[in-house]
Amino acid sequence: MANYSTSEFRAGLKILLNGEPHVILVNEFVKPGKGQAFNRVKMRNLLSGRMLDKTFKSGETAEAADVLEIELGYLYTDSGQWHFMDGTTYEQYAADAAAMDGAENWLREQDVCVVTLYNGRPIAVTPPNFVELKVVETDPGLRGDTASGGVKPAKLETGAVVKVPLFVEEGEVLRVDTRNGEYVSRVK
Amino acid sequence: MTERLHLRARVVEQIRAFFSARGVLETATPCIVGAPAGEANIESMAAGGGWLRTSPEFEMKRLLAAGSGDIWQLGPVFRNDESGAHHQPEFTLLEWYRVGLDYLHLLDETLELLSHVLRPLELADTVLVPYREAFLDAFGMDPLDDDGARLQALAEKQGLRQCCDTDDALDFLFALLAAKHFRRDCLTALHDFPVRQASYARISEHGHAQRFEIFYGDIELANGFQELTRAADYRVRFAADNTRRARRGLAETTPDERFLAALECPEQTGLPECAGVAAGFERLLMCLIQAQNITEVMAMTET
Repeated sequence: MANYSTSEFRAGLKILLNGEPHVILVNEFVKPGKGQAFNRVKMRNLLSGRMLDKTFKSGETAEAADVLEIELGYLYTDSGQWHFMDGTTYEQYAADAAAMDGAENWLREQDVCVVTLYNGRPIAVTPPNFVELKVVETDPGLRGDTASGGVKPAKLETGAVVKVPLFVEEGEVLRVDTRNGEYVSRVK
Repeated sequence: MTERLHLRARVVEQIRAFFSARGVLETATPCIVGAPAGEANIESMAAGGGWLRTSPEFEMKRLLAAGSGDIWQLGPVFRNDESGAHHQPEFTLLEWYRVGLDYLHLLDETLELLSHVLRPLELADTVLVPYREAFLDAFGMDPLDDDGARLQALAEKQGLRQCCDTDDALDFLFALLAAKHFRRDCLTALHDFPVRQASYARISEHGHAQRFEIFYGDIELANGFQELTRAADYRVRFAADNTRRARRGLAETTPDERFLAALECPEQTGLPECAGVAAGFERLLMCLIQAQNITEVMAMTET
């Protein structure tokens, strides 16, 4: 893979550090007038999710990480693997539970996700920010109660459980924000 | 937009009045000079058959050697590959030299000028601290420690990816970490640096470099020196700079022979005893309006 010099560092660039892929979040040039120039870099480890601050001497290089983000359609799951397919090349990819990291709570077959590939293997799966899912199980609704502000758990078709207003009933379709797992609205 | 133009003009007026009242002569020296910067950490840009100056230091010192007396200059300087929130490859340097004044008195004068310009910030009294003490306070480790390995290990532990020498370690630890804790309600003035950070400052009999540096928060504003006066001493420093440059894989630079000749010519006995200081002009403006980025105080930037 190519190398990037510190002068090419910018937010979003993916580099290898200690053999693991990191994405640069903030790159700051710092230099004492008479002294060595540095790049203070804030980054996130794409495997562990951990944040890391490292300072490079300006002019140093870092190896580019072979990281790619592509849109893949979700196919099915079996024995701890979630299978996806590229709609144009028909190439299939399997993500493990670590890469899914909860994304499986929101996915129905055919749903399109952004999948992060590292050396060709999925390391992260990002579902759409909003999904529309059917309620398969919840306590009977309190019809007309749209103002009391009370909530109850509701199980969705994907197995995820979200807190919903008391008026929501089984069979209804809900719009849910996958980033925080919160109910947004009913879908008519 | 017009605000920043007026701010700049106002501060230039203040500076001019400050030096005029003290009998310090305003000067102009060429921006295109015959030799590139020799320093290990400053890169010159080639231009017009010569080099764009990275500071007016050696030209002003030639004036001093020729008997100019106290002089000051405000003008553009150029440093390759310096670009960031506090850096632009082209910026304005305020530089002045006082004949017969020692560096600690020049430090006082610099603080007087900076405090005058920064008056709207209503700063508390300046914190004056020797470099060594500030370093000990921050890290519990002596920056003069001969065992550079310990300083390098500390730098790496604190997040420097690859530390090659003690100078890197000191620059990183000091400018990136210790300076973070400097107060934001006053100026901090450090003085008496480790010999390895002398630049062109004279070394005292106590074995420290007669150099000072002034910060506002962690923003570096000015660097001052008790200047070397003899050509032979400069030749030694230039050679040391080149050794460091070579170690870092940078091109060796040729010494500024016009400057050395000015110090060596028979009727001269080198520079008069003097102290000099350079301050980043845009940094001052940044402090005044609490800017986050140097471009906020520049009329425009082209690169």
